[in-house]
Amino acid sequence: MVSRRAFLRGGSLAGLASLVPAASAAVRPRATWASLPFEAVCDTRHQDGDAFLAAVAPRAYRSHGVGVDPGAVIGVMADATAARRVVLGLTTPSTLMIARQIAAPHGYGLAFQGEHDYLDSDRLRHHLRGDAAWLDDLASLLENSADAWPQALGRSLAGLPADRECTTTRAVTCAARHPERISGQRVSWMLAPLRA
Amino acid sequence: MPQALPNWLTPQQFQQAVDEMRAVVGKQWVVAEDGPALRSYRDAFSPEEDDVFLPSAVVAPDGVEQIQKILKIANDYRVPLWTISSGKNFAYGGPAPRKAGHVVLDLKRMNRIIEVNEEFGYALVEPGVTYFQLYEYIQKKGYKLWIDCAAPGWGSVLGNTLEHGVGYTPYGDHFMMHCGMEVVLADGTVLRTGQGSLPGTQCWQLFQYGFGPVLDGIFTQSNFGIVTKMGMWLMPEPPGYMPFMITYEREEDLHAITEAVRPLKVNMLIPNGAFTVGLLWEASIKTTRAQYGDPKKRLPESAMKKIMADHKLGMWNFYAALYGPKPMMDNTFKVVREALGSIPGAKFYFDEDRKGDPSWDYRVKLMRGIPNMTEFNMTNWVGGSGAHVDFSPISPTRGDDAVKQYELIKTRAHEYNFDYIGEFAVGWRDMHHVFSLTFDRSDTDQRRRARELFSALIDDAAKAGYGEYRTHLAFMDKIAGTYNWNDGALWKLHHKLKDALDPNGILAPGKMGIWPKHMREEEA
Repeated sequence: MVSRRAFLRGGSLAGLASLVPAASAAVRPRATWASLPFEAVCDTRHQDGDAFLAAVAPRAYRSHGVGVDPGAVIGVMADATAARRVVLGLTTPSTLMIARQIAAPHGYGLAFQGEHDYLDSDRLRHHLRGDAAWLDDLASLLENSADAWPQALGRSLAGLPADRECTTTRAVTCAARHPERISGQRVSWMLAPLRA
Repeated sequence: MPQALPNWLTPQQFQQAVDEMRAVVGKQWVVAEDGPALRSYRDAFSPEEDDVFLPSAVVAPDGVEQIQKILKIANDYRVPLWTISSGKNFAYGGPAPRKAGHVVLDLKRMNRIIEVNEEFGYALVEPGVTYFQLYEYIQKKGYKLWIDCAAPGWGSVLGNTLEHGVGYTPYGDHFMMHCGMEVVLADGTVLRTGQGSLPGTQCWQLFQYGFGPVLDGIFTQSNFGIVTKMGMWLMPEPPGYMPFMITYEREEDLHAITEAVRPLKVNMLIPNGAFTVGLLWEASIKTTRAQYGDPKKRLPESAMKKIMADHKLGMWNFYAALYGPKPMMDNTFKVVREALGSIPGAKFYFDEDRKGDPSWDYRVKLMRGIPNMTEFNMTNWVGGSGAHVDFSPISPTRGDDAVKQYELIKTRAHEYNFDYIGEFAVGWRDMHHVFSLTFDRSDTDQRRRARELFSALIDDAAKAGYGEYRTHLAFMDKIAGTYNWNDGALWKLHHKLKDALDPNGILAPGKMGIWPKHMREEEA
C-alpha cells in the first residue's frame, strides 16, 4: 500500500510498477479538450485505491487519502470548490455522497460516475455514467483492462473534459481477480463546476 | 422558473418577491433557477420522488437585519420560508422544505462563534456554526472544554438542539444543555429568552429560566420563530475518561441489559448518553450486506453468527463511558461491571482491546466530544444510492418495553424485506429507540416499501402507546395526529400559537404538522 506521504505528491511508485499496464491504456483526450487542474481523492484502505491514486497523482494538483471516516472529504471539497478545481475520486458511496453535498451549492455536479462491483466467479461489473462523446471508449477500455481497471480509469479521467452533467450510461462486465478483502462497493467520480 | 410554487402565488408575484430578496442579500446569495445549486437543497435521503420536497428558491441572509427585511417581503407576498441552519438533518429531511415550492431560508452565513467562556463552560453560537467548527475553535484556543455532538459532525450545534437531538457525553441531552436564545418572530421582532431579556445581564448563558414563562421550548421543533443565537453549556474536560463496550451474544439479552442499565442511569452512575446497539448497526459501519448475502434482500438470521464472529460483535453491543478522577471511575466501574456483567456471555472491551475497529473508534470519539462522519458509512450497507429514514419511538428504560418495541419493529421490517438496523440511546429515564430504515434510493420499489413500512410502524407504535420524538418531513402530519389526547388539545394549542405569532403563515408551514390558518382551511 502506498504511504500517505506518497499520496500527497504522487511520490514513489516503485512498488506499484507491476500494476501499471504496459500499454498505459487510457481514453486519449482529443486535442480540443482542455485538461483542467484537478484534485484526487482516494479510499486508502485497499489496493484498487492505491492503483487509482498512483495513476492520477502525477498529474493532480493535490491528492488526498480518505479512510474509514468519509468526513475527511469535507475539507478537500471545501478547498477545491473555492478554487474551482475539478475533483476525481475512487471511494465508497458514502464519501461521494458527502462530497456532492459540499460541492453542489457551488454549482458542481457529476461529470462522471462509475460503480464497480465485484461479482461471483471473479467477474467485475462497471456501471458507468458520463458523456456520450467518450463513454463508449471508456467502457470498452475498462472491459479490456481486467485487474488494471483502476489505473486505466484514473489515467482516462485525468484527461477528460468535465463541464457537463453525466447523462449517458453504459455497463460492462469483465474478468477480474477479486482483491483479497472486499469491503464494499467502490464508486469512481468526477465532480466539476458544470456549465449553466 | 421552478416547477412548483405555493398555489396562492402567481409566477409574477414569486419573481417580484425573489427580486426584492436579491436586493436585500445580494444576487449571489439567492438561488431560484433549476440546477445543481437548487437541487442540493432536495432531501438526499427522501423515500419520496425527488421533487416532492424541492424548494422554489433559496435565500441566505447574513444576519438579523437581513432576516427582518426578508420577513417583511415574505409577509407582503405571503412567501413561505423554511429555515435551515446547516441543512444536514439527513434521515429527517435534510435541507428540504415540507412542501415543494416553498423557499428555503438558509442561515449558513450566520456562522459566528460569538463567545466561548471557559470559566463557566458555555458557548454562544449562531445557526451556521457546525460541530466541526466549534470543536476546531476550542482546540485552537486551547480551552479545556468538550463539546457534545451528534453522530455526523457537519451538523449545526443550534439546529440539532432545536430538533431535540442527542449526543454521547454526559451533556448528551442537547436541549437540556442549552441556555438562552435570541429569536426573530414572523413580524420581525427580535427577542431574547431567559436572562437575556434583562439589559446588561451577565447570566444569559448561566441561568436557563429568567423571569416568567420559559418560552424556549416553543421555538424548538416548531415554526413559531427563527432562532438566531443560542447558548450551549460545554463540559469541562474531565481528569479521566474511561470508555467501554460490552457485547452480548443473544437477541433475548436485550431485556436483561435494559433492566440492568436502568438503575445505573437513574442514579447517574453512568453519566453519559449510553447506547445499546444492534448487531447490524455495528456491521453497517464497516461492511456491507453484499458481503454476507443478497444485497437486494434483508439478511437471513443465519448470516448473523458469521458477522458476529468476523467482527467480534454481539447481537447487542453496549457502549458507555465514565468520567472523572481515576479512583472514582474505578469504584463506579465495579458497580457497573457487577450489574452489566451479570448477564451470561457478557464480554467487556476497553480501548486496548479494540483500537482500529471503526465501530469502536468512532463511538470513543463521540463519547468524548470529537466530531466525525464515520456513521455515514451506514449508507453503504445496501449499495446503490444508500439512504435511510429514522423511525424513533421513545421507550421507558424497561426490559419489557425495549423487547416489545424491538419485536414490533423487527417483525414489520422483515415483512417489508428490510433489515432491522437499530439502537437504543439510553437517557436518564427513557430510551430513544432509533430504527434506521436503510434502503437504496435508486430502487423505486424499495422507496415505496420504505414509505409503507414507516407508515405502518407509526400506527403500530401509537396503538401500543409509543410516540416518536422526531421524524422525516413525509410523516410529520401522521405522527402529529397520534399525539391526540383529549381531542387533539395539544395541536389545537399549537395552531392557536401559530395563528397569533405568524398570521400570514410564512414560517415553515407544516413543520411537525403545524400549519398556518390559510393552509389548514384549504385542506379542510
